[in-house]
Amino acid sequence: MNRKPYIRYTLLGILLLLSLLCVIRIAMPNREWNYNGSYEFSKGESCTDQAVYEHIALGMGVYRLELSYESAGDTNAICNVKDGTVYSGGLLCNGEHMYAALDHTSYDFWLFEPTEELAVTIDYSGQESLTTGNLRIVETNLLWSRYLVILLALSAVLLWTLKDKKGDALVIFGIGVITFLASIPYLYDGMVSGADLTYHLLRIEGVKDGLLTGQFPVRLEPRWVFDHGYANGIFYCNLLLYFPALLRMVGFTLTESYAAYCIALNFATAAIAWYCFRGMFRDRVIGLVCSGLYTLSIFRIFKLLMVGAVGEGSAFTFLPLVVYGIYLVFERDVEEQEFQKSWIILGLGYAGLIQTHVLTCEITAFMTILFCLIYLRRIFFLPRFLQLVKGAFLALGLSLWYLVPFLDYYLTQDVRIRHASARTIQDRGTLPAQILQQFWLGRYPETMESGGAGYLNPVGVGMLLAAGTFLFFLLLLLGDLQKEKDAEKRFAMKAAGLGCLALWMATSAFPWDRMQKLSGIAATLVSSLQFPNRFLGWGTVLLVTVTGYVIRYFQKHHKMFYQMSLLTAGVVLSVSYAYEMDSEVQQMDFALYNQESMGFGYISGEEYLIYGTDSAKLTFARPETGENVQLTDYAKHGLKMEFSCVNGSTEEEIITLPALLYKGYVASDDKGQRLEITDDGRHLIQLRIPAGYTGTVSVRFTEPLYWRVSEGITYLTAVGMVIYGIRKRRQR
Amino acid sequence: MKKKWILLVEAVLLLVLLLLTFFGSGVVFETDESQLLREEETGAVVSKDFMLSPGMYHIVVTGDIANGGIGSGMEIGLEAAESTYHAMRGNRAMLPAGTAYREVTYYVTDKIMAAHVLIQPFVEEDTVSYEVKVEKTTAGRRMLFVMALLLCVCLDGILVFRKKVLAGEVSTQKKWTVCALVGIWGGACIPLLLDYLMLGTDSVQCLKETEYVLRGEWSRIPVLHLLYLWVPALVRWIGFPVATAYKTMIALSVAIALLLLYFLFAALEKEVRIVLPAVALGIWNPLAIRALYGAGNPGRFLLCVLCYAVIGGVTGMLLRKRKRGYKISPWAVFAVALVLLLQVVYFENTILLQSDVNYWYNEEPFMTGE
Repeated sequence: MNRKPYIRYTLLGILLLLSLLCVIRIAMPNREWNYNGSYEFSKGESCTDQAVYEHIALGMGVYRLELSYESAGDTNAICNVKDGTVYSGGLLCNGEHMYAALDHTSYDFWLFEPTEELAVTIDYSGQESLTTGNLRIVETNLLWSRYLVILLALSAVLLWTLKDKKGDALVIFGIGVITFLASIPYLYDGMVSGADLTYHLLRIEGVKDGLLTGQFPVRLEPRWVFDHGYANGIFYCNLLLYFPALLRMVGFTLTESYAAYCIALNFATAAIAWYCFRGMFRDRVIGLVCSGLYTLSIFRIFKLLMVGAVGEGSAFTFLPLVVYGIYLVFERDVEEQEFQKSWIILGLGYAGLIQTHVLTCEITAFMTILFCLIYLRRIFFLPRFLQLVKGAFLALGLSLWYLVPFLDYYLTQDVRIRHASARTIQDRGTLPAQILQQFWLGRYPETMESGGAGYLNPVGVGMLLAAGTFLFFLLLLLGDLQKEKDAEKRFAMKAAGLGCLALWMATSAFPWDRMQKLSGIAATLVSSLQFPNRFLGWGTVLLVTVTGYVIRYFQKHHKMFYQMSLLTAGVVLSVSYAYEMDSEVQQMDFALYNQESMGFGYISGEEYLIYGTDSAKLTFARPETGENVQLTDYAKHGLKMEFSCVNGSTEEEIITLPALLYKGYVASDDKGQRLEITDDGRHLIQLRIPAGYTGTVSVRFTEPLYWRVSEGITYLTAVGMVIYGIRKRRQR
Repeated sequence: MKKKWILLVEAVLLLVLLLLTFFGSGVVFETDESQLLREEETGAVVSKDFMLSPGMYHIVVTGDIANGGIGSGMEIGLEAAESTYHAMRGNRAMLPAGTAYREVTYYVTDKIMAAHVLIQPFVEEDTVSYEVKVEKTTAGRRMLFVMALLLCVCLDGILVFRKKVLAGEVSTQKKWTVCALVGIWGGACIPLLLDYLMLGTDSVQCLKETEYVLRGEWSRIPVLHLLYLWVPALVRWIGFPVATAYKTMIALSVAIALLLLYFLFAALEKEVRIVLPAVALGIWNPLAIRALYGAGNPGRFLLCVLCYAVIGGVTGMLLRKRKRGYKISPWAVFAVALVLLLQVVYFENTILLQSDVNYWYNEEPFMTGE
């Protein structure tokens, strides 16, 4: 009986009605509360949770707090919002440090329960003098905009369920289960603290700040390095981070946005891996098993969850596309329909890698070269060669918006990353025993620099993939595969060989130190890898391919072994994952709600600072001027600084602005006159003010024209691909 | 014909390597206390730099006791300011006062352009008189020969097995039985893949007893321990480092226990679906694995296996008549094997993650202080 989905239609109607109510609420004006007063802290007497304003009554909402203050030192005190009467999780706020160069603190807090007992508190170190002043609390629309997004997302899911999905329920269920298992660590109100996590959270905040201050695409994160602007977006593509950044902009906390991003990433990885492995083995169940093996693989979870390496974790989403693309180009018959689309898959895979993690892309390029060498004869067959070329152009077209600024800066700016050839990496390699580790256990990963047992994190491909590969070699060696002549076998053999090579390269047994001594380029390339274990990404995807082939072989020839291998995969993945869920790792968590709570100074390895910049001396600051220059009305909004100045002397004077000097800054005044920008020696922007000058000066970051052209090419390529896809779909 | 050629090449290669083991030793550096330079910051004295090529070296210290010898004692070792990862492998030796002669072993795996001898005297102002030599030994080439020999034997063995399988001389069941045995052995040996020595509570005693065997101090070794101590002693005698010798002993203990259990159970029971899980249980059971790695006591491990073999054998004999005609489900075997595998991998992962790192190459770390 074909029943009409009345309940879902009703639910959809309710959701849309609620969405409309949210829109109406957003359109209504917001309130503002002002409190006057002052509190002087006694120097030398530290205190915690000292209330400077109490008994504030507020309803549910997301509010912006602004407290004026005068502080003689940096990170001398923390301003926070507390309320002991609301339920746990009813008030979300981490507070913000107070800085000498700032005159007020300003941050958001989330209140999910009406209260009359809200207090603004100060944790004071007692080291430098501090006086707080007036308080202003501003209501925002963020609570309602976040509800609106949730309602619209639910509506979209409901709408999708109303579509006929032609019996793909098993696949949808399978991908859902894999996504759920991989996403369990993100389904609570905290984040597992990885070594790289704060850096990537600041990247998300950087994109948000860039967008809010009118940059698109975001090249320089404006508030990073204490409002000095950091060129992270130029070197480390942040394309995928626009999603969590947009969530932040509509009112989600940083923890929520990050969790949503990781869950989306898990879903994308599971779906893409399923698509690729299903295509490779022409079986949707094996596609699902391989998707599970890949999405829940030890190394991927280690990187994404335990290290918080969001870039590398994101790049893993696209690795199966590259492997599948290579398989299609070299192994499929040129007459097959799948072969015709191989360039798209390869191009999308490479574009994804370039725009998520350049180092993984470098390793991918290396692996692709090895595949090309193995398939050397097939490269000279024109249709296959054309697929490769088309794929390369597609990847280039889609990535040009990022590559042009990246190369421009890399070649013209003397950034620290260009001076990284001395760092050796072999001692950071994994041990063969680690490669086989399947269980996570209650141990938090220590830093790689700590040496000794600190290296022993569960960094590997796991027992299951190793066992699959071992079985493959056994079948091959003992002649069981002799009768198999299909493309999958040929590809699995190459994958097994290169997979083992990748594992070797990930260990400290690979002669990285010797390679580094070969030449300057080799030294830079090896050094930039940082950790040999990055090769485990490719090791994992290749060994999943091999294991998938073994399961495929069992499916064809030994039904019982096939069933056993499916069961083994399910049990081993779930058992090892259950241990991970139960481990002490979960205790090493924290909840961050906004950028202010993290500070603005952490830039990981400082790779993208101009060489010679002393980051320890950078903090929030005001412009520095000569004695004869009067500077007034200074305002900084993102990467734009405006001020009025008068040079009363008969000589040229200089003004140093609190912004790192990168290529692209332009200074002009209200009369249209350009002012010269120079380096102040600390790699900050220095303006030369002519003698007797009077005017309003504006310094801003402007993208060169050729960057804009490259962005245009990328837009055209993307639009072209969409049109091509629609036409192909209609043809089918 | 092709295979004969391969064997011939192998034989020639091994012969050349064997001949090379008789040459290549000699003193690469020689100095006395007057030529050593003092580092003001650390109080250490260092020699001039010299080059080292891959091989095994001895630092030979000869003290002139009458004129002060090595004074109040010292710590001595080789160092290099710049080398590739783990190119120099050795542990510094502590020489007590009155030492007249001492050899300290070091291994070099990659060319080192500027190595030096580093000496840290216990008392700086002592009057001393000693000579230090760095000698290259033939043990490096001997190790190379042994490794090449083992590699050839393994590869040839695999090829012969493959040939027999392809020719149908080995049944499918036999083929997979061999593979399963290799798998069980491999599963038990995962912790040996660490590049350092993972010690159990009794490991140091075992290492010391190996050293007594090498020194011929038989009275200090329990007789039964000689059942397995000959393995690390032989490996050490060839020239291999302490860690390699210890790991070889563990790997061989597991292999011997595995074969013992397999042949015993196979004699009692023809059904391979019963024999293989029984063998796996004998090797992978928590008691045995704990004895092997937790205690680091191969003797206790072998005892566990023997007890299990006796109990298993008696049980097998008692049940032999009763279960005739009974067919065991492959799913039951699968379930048992999976549970066994998961528990052994879990235990091994646990000890791997909690292990202390001991890069022990010579006897100095555990024999010093005697």
